Amino acid sequence: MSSESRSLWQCISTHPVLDQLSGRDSHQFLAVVSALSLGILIFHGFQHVYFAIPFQLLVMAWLVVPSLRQAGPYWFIVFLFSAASLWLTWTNADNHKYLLCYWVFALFLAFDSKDLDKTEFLRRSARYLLFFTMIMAVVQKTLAADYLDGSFFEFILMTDSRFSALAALLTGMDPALFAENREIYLRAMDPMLADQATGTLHSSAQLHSLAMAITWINYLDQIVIALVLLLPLSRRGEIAKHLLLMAFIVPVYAVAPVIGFGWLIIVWGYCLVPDSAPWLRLGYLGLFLLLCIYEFPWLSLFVYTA
Amino acid sequence: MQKLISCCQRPGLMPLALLVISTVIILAHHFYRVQHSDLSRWKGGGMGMFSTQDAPGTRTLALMIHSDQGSFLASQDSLGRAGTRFTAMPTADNLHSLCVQMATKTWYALGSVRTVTLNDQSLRSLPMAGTASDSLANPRPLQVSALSLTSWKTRIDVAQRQIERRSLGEARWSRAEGCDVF
Repeated sequence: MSSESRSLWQCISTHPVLDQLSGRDSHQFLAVVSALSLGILIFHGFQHVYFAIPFQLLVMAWLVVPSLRQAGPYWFIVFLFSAASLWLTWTNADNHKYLLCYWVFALFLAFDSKDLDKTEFLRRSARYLLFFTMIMAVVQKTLAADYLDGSFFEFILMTDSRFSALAALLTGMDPALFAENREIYLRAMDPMLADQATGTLHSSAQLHSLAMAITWINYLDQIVIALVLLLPLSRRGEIAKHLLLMAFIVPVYAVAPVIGFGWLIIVWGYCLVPDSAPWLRLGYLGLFLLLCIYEFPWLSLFVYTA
Repeated sequence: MQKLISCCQRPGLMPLALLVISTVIILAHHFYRVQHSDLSRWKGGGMGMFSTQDAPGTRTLALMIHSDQGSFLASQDSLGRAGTRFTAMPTADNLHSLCVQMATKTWYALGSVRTVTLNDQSLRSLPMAGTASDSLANPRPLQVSALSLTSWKTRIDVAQRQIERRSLGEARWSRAEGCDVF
């Protein structure tokens, strides 16, 4: 590294804002984690009609009194509203709403206790919840009848418009075939066509291979992440673990932009970064912003205008 | 025993145990419902997203309204939360409760007609109906004589590239007999 680039790096790494964001001390760490968690609740939180206004009032209270975000009773009220909202919509709520509710519970437990090492507790909770998410995803995929043989992802690639651009790009199939597949599939689900025979979908050997590749990469990636979360690792191993988690987040949420889920995993990743590698925390904050860009349908724009 | 008690008294262990117990209880409930109530693996906190085709979105629910002004297809919005609850967990109880809810609603003709092309290229049209919250062309409520709810799940046989439909149940309501689930 040249002396110029080294001094630029030193200038960036010692900038007070970046220093604060990297959560070097416990106070900064808790401030960033609670603020990011509130951010998830504001933009991708519980949308139940009964709780929309109470949540807005809680967020306004936090804006007026910033110290509230580290107050146990404040998080208890947020947890109560989250849990009640989840209770009323439990059959329809997405899995990341459950995870968000667990995380709010962990924040309440952390900030409510006086003799608890809050930073350490949040790290342990983040580790457990991330492990739980990954290992249960693996268990469900193993138990499902149509995952490991590639059927599920072939179905998704054939019919889900979010994946069509990717499938067209990597298999060379005409994007119009995916639009036709979608049309055939929607006709099969149309109540006015319930008595009509269903059509045959378009696929190809390349699409099948792509489905198999996505199936196994996703499956093995989740197994490896779950395992490395259990292992005691050296500093190098820790860095490799975080790079692996980042390598999971970047492609998965580019294709399936479930931003609330991605943000939650990023917050957990941020919590798990060892203090000796604060730049990794900045990396997670960068991913937090990247997921906002992912909400724009950039892949479709690229494929369909090319 | 003393070792166990002192272990539980370590700060941070009890709160973490609470968190773990909460997740395990919800997980056990999820698997019970998947096994006994056909809850989609995608739902109920079991982390089964992107693991199977059998997502709530592959389950269709249709409501036909028979009235003094003819037959209408209910808009999907008018099926409300009870409809989405049924597609996530299609039990006979949920279908019955959905049927009862739909029978207590006041239905209106929306003034729009939906037309589809059949496989032989002929056309089929049906007028649409909705509840008071939908935009209304005709403010006079329909005199509903019967309702019929049908539901099925759609699955693709990937090897054959064919789409299969499997019934999730039917319900009928009439003023004389109330709701019956089949």
